Amino acid sequence: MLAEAFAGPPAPTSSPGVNATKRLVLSDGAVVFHKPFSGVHVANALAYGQTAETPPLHDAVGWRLAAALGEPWQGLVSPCVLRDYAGEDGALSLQAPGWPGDLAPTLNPTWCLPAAFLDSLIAQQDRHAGNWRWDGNRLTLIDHGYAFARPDDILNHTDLLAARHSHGATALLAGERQVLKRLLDDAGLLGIASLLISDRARALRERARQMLARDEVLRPGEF
Amino acid sequence: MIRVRFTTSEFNAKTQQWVKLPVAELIADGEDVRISGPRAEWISPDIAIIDPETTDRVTRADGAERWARLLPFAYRSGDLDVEVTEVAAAEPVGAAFHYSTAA
Repeated sequence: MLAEAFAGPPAPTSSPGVNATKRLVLSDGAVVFHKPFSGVHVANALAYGQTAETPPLHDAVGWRLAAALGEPWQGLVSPCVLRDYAGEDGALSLQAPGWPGDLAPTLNPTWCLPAAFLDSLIAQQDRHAGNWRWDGNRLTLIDHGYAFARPDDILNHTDLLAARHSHGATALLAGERQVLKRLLDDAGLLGIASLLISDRARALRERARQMLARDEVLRPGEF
Repeated sequence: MIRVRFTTSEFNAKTQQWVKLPVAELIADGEDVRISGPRAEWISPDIAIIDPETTDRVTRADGAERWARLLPFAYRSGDLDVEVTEVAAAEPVGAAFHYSTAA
């Protein structure tokens, strides 16, 4: 669906210096967001221990990993691919249904548990209610630019993982153990290792190993 | 005083034009924060933001105006347009959620 042609101009933005992400429409009517590599706010990326290139890359890898794990994680993440727009390479993600700022998913185990598992596995550094969408029935996680952190990288928010801890639900579920084993049994981490910088791929493998060994999701900030 | 305007856009397929829609307006005045607008509840006063210059984790309690200036870094996904302006004096903002860091 993200391979359709672009239709019409991008939506105007008031803050191009901070956010170069463009809102666009595809020929099938889908609204998408293009985050160009050239538009990364480098100081902000460096503050998170990221680089000038990793935020759009991690947006797409976040989706690839969720898709590789299968449901329920695949359905939790807004689809995202690497694609150029107007000659600029970047991450193209599908608009998620719903609205920001709603804390309902933190109280709903159907959504909070798998989202917290994924955020723990991908070392999400900035998951607050502005970085998910809730439509009253469904949670969608967006913006994985600041993820795949390494040990000692900073954490800003991981609100869904913190909620899972606060509900005393840290123990892994059967399906979570199963996908961690599948991930670790594959030398290429289900195709993800080759998409990440090597130290971030190693950190991903180590988190999966730790989660399986302890039979629980990691603590917030444990990358 | 800092004013932060949050807007979104909808595509009109007939005119092939984007239509800008208001979401919320946030006013940070001293240590107080007021949020108003048709979707004021979309904007959380409790989000912490990493200051890219210092790497400090800044919350509203660290200074409402400093925090408000950093809000574009909290909303990076592109579906909310965030415009920050310095304004000279308070203007009526109508019914608003009001948050204060005062005890």
